[in-house]
Amino acid sequence: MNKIPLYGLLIAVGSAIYVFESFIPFPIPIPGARWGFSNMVIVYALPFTSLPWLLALVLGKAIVGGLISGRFLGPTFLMGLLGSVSSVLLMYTSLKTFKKSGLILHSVIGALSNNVVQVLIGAQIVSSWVIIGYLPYMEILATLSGSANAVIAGILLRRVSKGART
Amino acid sequence: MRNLSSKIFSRTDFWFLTIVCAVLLSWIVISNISPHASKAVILVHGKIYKVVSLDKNALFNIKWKDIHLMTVQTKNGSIRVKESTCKNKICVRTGWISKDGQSIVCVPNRVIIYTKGAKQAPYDLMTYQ
Repeated sequence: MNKIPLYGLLIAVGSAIYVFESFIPFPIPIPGARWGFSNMVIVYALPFTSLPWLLALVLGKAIVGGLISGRFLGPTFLMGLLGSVSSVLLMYTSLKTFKKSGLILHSVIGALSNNVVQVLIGAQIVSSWVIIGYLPYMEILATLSGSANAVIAGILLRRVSKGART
Repeated sequence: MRNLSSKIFSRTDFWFLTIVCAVLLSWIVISNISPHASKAVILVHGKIYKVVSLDKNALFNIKWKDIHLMTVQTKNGSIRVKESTCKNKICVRTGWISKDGQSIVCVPNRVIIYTKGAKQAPYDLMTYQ
């Protein structure tokens, strides 16, 4: 499959998950905090994609998902976008560094860094460092959702035929 | 393409997950053994709006530029947001907080309430505006 249709498809799937995951209640009372299951498409694309295309995927997912969910250009939109960009950079570095490890490591690293960046930006928005007290709870949930993403993306990578990826 | 049969789980991942969970759980345990707080600080737009003692039972409104933002209640050493004008009511759902270092955050109204100081202060109540 060509690159444009493949990543267009992934952006569409990611945006759909992004909208639907807001129906799942998130137990921590921080504005803009969410499970992050839509990052499944990024974990799926990670092993066979170059860094510029990964960043394009993140940007497209943030813009389309933000437009659909009505968060476009709001404060939580900026938090989410910067969080995803940093998580993609770290996931890509981790993929190139830890060659023996599986997808779970990369995915969890991405989820953890996403939350750290979001909380740091959130602290800037409300101009106080008090929010950091929520960070350990968020990171526990990020570890869970990151592992779930990695397992689903890994199974998809095995099942989907090679022709759909190259 | 390269690396098509990507692994999902390996020994490295197991140790990584174990270490991450251990660090996070110990962080949570350490942050939860703090004593009960004696005061709560209310910040509006990043500035100190009011410092309240938690020993008294009280109910008061928070206003910013004459616009009503929320009603805060203190009772039996805890504090909560009773009612708020924001859309998603996250601050109301946080409920009562009483331990040192806990907080209630309302981003739409830009209000932060955090507990402070287990030790006794030389003053009882302090107000700024």
